[in-house]
Amino acid sequence: MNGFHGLLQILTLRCEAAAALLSRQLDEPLSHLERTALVCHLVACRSCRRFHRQVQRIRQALRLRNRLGPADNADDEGLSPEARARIVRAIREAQAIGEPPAGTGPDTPRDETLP
Amino acid sequence: MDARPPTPTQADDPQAPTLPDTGTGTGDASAWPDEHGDALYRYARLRVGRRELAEDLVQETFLAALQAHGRFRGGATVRTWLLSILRHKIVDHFRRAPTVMPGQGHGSPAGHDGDGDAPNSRAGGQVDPISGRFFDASGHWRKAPAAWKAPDRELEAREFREVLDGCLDHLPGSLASAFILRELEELDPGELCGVLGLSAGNLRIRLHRARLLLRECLERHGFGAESSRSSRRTP
Repeated sequence: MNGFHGLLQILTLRCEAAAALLSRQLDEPLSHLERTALVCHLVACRSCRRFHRQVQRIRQALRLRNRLGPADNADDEGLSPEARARIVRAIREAQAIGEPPAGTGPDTPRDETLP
Repeated sequence: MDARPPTPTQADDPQAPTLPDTGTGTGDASAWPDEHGDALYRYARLRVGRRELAEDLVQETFLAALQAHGRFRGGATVRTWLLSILRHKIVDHFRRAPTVMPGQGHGSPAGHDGDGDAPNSRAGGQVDPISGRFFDASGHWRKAPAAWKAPDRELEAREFREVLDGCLDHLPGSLASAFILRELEELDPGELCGVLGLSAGNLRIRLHRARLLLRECLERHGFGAESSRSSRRTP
């Protein structure tokens, strides 16, 4: 019975379900039956072969960018001058608050910690 | 060069091991905005869509870095260290508001344009708006995907990335958050379900819909073979 249903799934896979499987296999492994049905469908369907290549290309483009990291390209949009000034101000304020009082820093232990 | 920062769970976790002490410092923190601000901003902007939000995340990153300053020991570059903190902030942003659209730039409001989680089937006579847009009632493509030119030149690849960025910006919010965390932050699906509070099935649907929409958007904006080069424009 299972074999019959499997064969039916292989023979009747439509583009809508094939595309969903192609997308899914980018995220998780497919079952043997799903892979077989997909391969059979792709042999016969040029549209789904294109969809397959195109979603892979989208992934490759995004992953390549991740490998390269954000570019220091002066032509690209950056922080606005207002945001930059605001951030510098916030950093300075945080530095002023976080500044340990003289004589209490980690390099200058208080008397009670001395032998 | 692999500039991908460490996983967000390690980024600014106080329990995370410190980097080896090589005597290298992080420099003057007030110079960080000039040295790293634009790069961090671009990283955040691509992922969260909205300028103000990206700028806030950059500010939060610098302030968190300032607090964790003592834990930086120079084993990584300052940029990589800051990126790892920013990455944590971005995931946190999506975790806090998983179904709220990341920004105006990221498409239509949640629930609009079929970004809900109704299954892809047509059960009950209801046609899922995204699936119904691409496939007819018998499950065949309404409009077959066109062939794309191979990215044989750097210019082509750059154009592709630029259009892709524009298309990402137009994804409906809940699809964008799932897709961005999966493809840009490279979270594995199990981790992603936890961050967004989704079942595996719902995550699958969102990722698939996002890919269908992005592919169509790229084709519409010049990457189909029939389209001429001059027709390319950023969405």
